[in-house]
Amino acid sequence: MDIVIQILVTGMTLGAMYALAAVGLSLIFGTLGMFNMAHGLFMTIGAYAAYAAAEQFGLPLVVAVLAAMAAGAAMGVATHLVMVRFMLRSKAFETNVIVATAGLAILLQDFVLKLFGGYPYPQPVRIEGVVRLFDVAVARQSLLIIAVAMVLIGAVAWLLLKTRFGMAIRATAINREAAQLMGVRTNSVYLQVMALAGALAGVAGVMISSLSTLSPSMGGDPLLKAFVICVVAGLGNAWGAGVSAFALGLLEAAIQYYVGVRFGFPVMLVLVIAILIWRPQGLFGTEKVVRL
Amino acid sequence: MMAALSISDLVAGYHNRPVLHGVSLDTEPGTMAALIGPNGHGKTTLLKTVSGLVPARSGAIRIFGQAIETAEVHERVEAGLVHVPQGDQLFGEMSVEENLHMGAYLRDGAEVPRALEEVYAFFPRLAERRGQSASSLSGGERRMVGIGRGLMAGGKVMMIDEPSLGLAPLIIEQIYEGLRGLSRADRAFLVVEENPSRLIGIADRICLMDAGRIEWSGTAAEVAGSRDILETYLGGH
Repeated sequence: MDIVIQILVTGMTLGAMYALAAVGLSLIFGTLGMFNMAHGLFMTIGAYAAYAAAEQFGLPLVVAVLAAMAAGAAMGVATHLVMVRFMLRSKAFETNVIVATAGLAILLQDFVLKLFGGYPYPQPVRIEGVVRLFDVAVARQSLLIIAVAMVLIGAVAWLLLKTRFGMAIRATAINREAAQLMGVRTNSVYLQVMALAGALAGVAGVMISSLSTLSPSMGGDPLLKAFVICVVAGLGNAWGAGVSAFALGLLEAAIQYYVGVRFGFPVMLVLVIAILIWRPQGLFGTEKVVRL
Repeated sequence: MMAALSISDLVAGYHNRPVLHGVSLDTEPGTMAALIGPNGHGKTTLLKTVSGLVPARSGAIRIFGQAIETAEVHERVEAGLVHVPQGDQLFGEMSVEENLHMGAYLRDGAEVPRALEEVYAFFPRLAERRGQSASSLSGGERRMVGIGRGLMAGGKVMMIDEPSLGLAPLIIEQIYEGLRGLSRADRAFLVVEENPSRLIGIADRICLMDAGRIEWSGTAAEVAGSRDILETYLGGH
């Protein structure tokens, strides 16, 4: 029982962080048709923004998290305005934008390194202490991460399914031309999606760094995992990405416990390959066959 | 009298292939005009150019006097233009009702329930299917959603690319008569139709499009009675 709770908490914590990153990545892919290689850096910059707000300006933790969201959203907006929107109509957009955002990621990472240095600062935005859950000591920070992620993902789901704004995003994702014919300003939708995904990435960055440390390269690993999750879920399916993130988080925690920590990611990848052989369109993917 | 939709000397095409070579066309408010002609001669491209999906190279497009040829697609919708595209282009993963709601995207929310009721009265089948996803519908039902979604906009000029495609003859008749019934002094229809005999007593004017130009225009009865036109352009429909 103790072990099950421990795996559940660890897995849900991992899943929560992956979900915030993957849902944003998936939204961008679904709407703009681009794989955002700079998404990891959106997380990194969010994490450093929270660090700067809490440590250097002494602001309350909640404000620091809001600063992370604002920084992530600003990165998303800037990426769209200075780069992506000029490439959208170009031929081979899908491949060109991968190279372009990968370049942006390198640039931003060097910028973070220049500004903050490479020292692995601890993330000040965290709460200490443990609570007892059926005799198991569970870190408050883990519970906070799970709760915040659930609330944010619930908010995104509500936004997409129940609001006019969300309808416009879904319509644009499904069929851009038809959305335009309904009067949707698709260029604004792209900008809003980039801002939303950036804000989610910013929070994900704070969470990830709160369990390890800050570093300019901290976004690389979560980006890879978020990408894997998006592929497993079916590229562009935001709902599926959220569910898959929690499933893979739990799986990774279970493998780490029963097989060994260093086997967590490799075993997960083998499973992903098996899933993709069985269902090339991903677990939740439907019609579109995406070539990679 | 001011034309509902006025197109003059419109030139447009894709990349290096011009498709429209100077199209001029006026439709009067309260009427239905129809475009007929062989496939691949610019009917769909004309509609797409009017709605802004294909950029115009030169020429003018006006809706009730308002010039829209350089406007963004959504600005043309704001001006009152509705384009029901070829192949429906529904939002497949959305429900029928969500698709209809998208049609009224720019409308005041208070007007939507009544518009929805009107569309369901027009296509009772859609009321039965309202919760179903659009991708699960039959071809005829999809067409109804496409037209219904267009009606939801409450526009002033409504262009429908082949309203009859994939529908049973009885329903085609019903749709055309229904559209006629929606005719008002501040609204006009422009439809693309393969079979001119369906338009007798429905369309006020028929425009024959060939090789990117309007070659001829007249009444439906004139077209149906003209062996020359039928044989030359329409393969003896």
